[in-house]
Amino acid sequence: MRLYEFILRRLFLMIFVLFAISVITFILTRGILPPASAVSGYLHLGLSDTGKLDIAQGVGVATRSCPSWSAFIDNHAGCVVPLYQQYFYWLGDVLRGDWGWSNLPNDFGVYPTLAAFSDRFPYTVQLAVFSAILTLVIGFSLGIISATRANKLPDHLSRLTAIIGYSIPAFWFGLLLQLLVVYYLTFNGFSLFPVSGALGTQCAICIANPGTIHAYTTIPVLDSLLSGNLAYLWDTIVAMVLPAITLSITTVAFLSRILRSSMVEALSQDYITLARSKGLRERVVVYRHALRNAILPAITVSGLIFSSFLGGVIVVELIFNYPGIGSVARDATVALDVNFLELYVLVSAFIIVSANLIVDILYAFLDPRIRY
Amino acid sequence: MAQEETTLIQVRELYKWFPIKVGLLGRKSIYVKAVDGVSLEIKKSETLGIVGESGSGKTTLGLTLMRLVNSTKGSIIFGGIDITKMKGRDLKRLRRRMQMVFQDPYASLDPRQTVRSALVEVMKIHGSIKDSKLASDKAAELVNIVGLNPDHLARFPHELSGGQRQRVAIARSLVLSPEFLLLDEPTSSLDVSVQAQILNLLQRLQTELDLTYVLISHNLAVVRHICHRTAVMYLGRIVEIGDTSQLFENPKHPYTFALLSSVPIPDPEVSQRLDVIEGDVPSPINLPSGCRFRLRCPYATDRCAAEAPLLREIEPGHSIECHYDLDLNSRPAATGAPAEGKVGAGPVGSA
Amino acid sequence: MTRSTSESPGSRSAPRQTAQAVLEIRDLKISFRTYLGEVKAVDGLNLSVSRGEIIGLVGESGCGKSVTALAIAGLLPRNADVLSGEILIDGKDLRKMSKADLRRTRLEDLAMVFQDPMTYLNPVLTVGSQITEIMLENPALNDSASITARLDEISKIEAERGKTEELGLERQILMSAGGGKLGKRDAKRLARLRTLAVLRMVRLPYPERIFKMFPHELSGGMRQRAMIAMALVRKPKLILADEITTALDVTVQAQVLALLNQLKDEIDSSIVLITHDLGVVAKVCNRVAVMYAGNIVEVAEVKALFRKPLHPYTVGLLAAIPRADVAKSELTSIPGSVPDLIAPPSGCRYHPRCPHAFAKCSDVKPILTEVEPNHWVACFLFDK
Repeated sequence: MRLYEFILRRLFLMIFVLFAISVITFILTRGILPPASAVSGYLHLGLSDTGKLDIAQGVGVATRSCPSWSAFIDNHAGCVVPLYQQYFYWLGDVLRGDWGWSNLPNDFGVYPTLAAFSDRFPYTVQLAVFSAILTLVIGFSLGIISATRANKLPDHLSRLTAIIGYSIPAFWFGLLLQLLVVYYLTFNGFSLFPVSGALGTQCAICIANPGTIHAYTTIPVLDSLLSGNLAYLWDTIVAMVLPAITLSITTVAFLSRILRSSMVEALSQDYITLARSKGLRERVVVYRHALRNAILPAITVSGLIFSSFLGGVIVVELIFNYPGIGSVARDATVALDVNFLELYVLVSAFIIVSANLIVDILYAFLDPRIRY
Repeated sequence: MAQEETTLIQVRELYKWFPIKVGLLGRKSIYVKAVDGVSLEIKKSETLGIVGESGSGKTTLGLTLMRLVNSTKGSIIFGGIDITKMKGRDLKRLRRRMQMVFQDPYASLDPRQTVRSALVEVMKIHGSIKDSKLASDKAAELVNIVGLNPDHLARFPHELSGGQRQRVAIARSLVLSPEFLLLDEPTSSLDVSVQAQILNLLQRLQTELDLTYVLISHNLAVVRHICHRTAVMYLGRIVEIGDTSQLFENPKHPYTFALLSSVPIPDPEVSQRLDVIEGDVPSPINLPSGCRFRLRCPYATDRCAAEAPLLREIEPGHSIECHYDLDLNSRPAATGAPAEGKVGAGPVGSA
Repeated sequence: MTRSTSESPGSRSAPRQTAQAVLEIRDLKISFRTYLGEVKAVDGLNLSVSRGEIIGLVGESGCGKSVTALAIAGLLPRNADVLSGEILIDGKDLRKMSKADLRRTRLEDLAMVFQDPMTYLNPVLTVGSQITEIMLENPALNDSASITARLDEISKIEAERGKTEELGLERQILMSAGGGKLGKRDAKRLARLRTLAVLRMVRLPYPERIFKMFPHELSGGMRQRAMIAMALVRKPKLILADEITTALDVTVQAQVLALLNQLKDEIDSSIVLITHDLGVVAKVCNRVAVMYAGNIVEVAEVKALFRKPLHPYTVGLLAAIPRADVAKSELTSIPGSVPDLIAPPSGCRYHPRCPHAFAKCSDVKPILTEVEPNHWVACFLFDK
């Protein structure tokens, strides 16, 4: 099978995966939650169609089936529709691009679900990319150093680091970092790195008034670049340092161990013996011959790590007061905001499925033996 | 003719195709035709050798004969009964009558089992001997038969040499007093000096216990030494079958001839042209039209491309699957540059 | 083909003639540290290989033949120790070399070809790149002296055999160095050109296509040819070929052996052909050394060894092989099995299996002695 056929097939399958996930989420939220919030979710949804701000009406009092959709929306008739019918109403709206209204607390009273999502998601994207780069660079270096000096001091040190990284809970490590920075790395009343927020204006190395940027992409890092505001860019990056370190400590440990074991395995293969017998420099043997083969499992892991970062990391966002999507998802759960949760779960699923697809495509390029 | 009495196994038009899923949704299937229409007859008390290169289907044929792999089509008559559809208790009873010796005794013996318990286990599974004292005696008798001494009974496989392990594997196959043994490359993991011991043992056991053997091997010298009759397989079909001496001294199929000429003779004074055929065995997925050997055959004609030859008897007990009666001893020049298609030919999986 | 046969296979009792020897091994001892104990894998091995010859190193598994090859190439696993001995390539002792010099020796003078071409070729690199990297790694191929030398060589070949497009192209690339070194791109083009030539040399069809292919896209025989090409491309003094036909089918093995016979006349390299198959030795080698349990027990011209084997082990081995060309009534087998090298037998390591063993055999280790011209045996039966 050709690669494009494979991609087409996987994209085709993705539709079914997303459909199944939307059904499951729908049942879990609206089917299990008390009718009040379930219907309230609908009323929000209905608002975009009817423009009425009539939320309190009829909550939880519906006892008979509705003669029509508008009757349900208006809910004056005091009726409910069966769950499967609700799902199709919801699906119809979503396919038209209408994700309904969110009942998250906010400054504007009413808040479209899509806006609740897209206000925060760009921050998650930039933190995820930054943390992923940190993980890849450190994880790969540690893995290679460990494998080429297997069972020697550097390997033992890296193993120790990995065990520590695995075992430290992120919430504790994050707080520890904050303490460290605030108590020991504080100069003239300013800590070295900002310990809170997405734009560092309160730290030793920050630029106090970075100015403003134009929202081209809504992702601050890109927008500050596009706006040519390097001060803003610097502050944005500086603010991500501590959350990214906290996020990466576990994933670096994981990635470096995976890479070490696949490198050790690759280095014991026959083709390495042949490469050495050819008189190649050790550097060529390690990077050209071994790493090319050992990288595949590490890529799978990297894909998983990146997609988990993109889903937002609630604990880290809360500790550093970082405005990512994870903490919104938490608020939405508390507020029983079913519309937002449905959107959040679907986007997360989409990210995970896409990450897997990208990993598989990368495999095909890196390993010529793989044909889909 | 009293053929009914002398034939132990009759194989008729046996097929084993392995499907591979391809296409956008994995709907379309293509097949690896590992065994593709094999008919043969195994006579009682004989040794039939099956030789071929990797991908020839010789191992699959053996596994299908043993009912370790189910056939796609065709019949295997063992002692007058079709065993291809046998199930459950009948199949278990059949297993007592046919046993197998594998290539690598280290892999086929349980490393945590002593020789004695490996032998006794088989008796228990099949309930042939229930009394443990009797079972132990039987085990002692068996190790003696295969040329080991009772000390070896208490040993674990890693405490034995390669040759001794293979002797244990043979003893295990004899526990249920089978009539038929399938020997799958029984000596190819052994050293030359030990190989001779095992071959001699197998020959002695055959006469003493009146066994019927099928020996699967890529080693033509071993086959010539031990087999009464020999079948040559190429890409899932038998291309030549006959008495061993006939076939080795006067091969009639160009493939057999090439195979025999390719074996380096351990005598520097015999001059030998080694590269009589070019190329490797093609993949058993995309078989050529007509005769499947024609792409490597120096004698191939248009007829070979158009029409698949069928196995035909050219002298009593000697059949070939070739359209022509070739005089192979006037040796041909090797074929010219190989055809374009061969360059991309993928590797062939082992049989 | 008659070759210079005056060299000794090397032994403590023999005069040393190193002048022409490409490889000279003296009293090599190798052992492996295992959790069961020390495995004395090679025990005082002496061998000399002269220029251009193909010598077979035969023996059963565990006799130390592959270990010897790995020791020569400096590729022994970490748990192996070379306890003593000298390994001289062109008179230079590999054991006294620095790591960097050893690497340079492998890059230029010493090539290995291994058994299973599927696992020894890197699955993710193209065949071409796995060959060109050898040339691109070698700075000696890209200095002005070697470029001038090669240009002269090309002119000579052109004068002798006429011009070819390939030589013209090579000259053109070499000229672009302009007295200095080649640029990166030109060095790559040159490496590609020479790789294609060597792929043609091992009779691979359509070398341009094979250059771009990955190992799994080739058949077993083609992969083995590619690995041989990898060895030939550096024009090494010595090629160590370890069981190179064992993993191949019979018809493909025959093709590779035929190739070796053709290459014999085309290249200057000496080949040590390690095998367990006496048939392979008989068809390809000039001389043969028989190994048993870490020692060489017999060295002779191939014809002499097959016609009149002297050592009881060689005699037993030849009697034990079944043959495809003639019917043998019964195989004579050697009783017992290969000894455990953690606690090898004392004296002659073959004595427990030897039908002619006498008291001395279990006490004293026999050394290789020349009992007939160029026929060396380590056995007390031939003590004069």
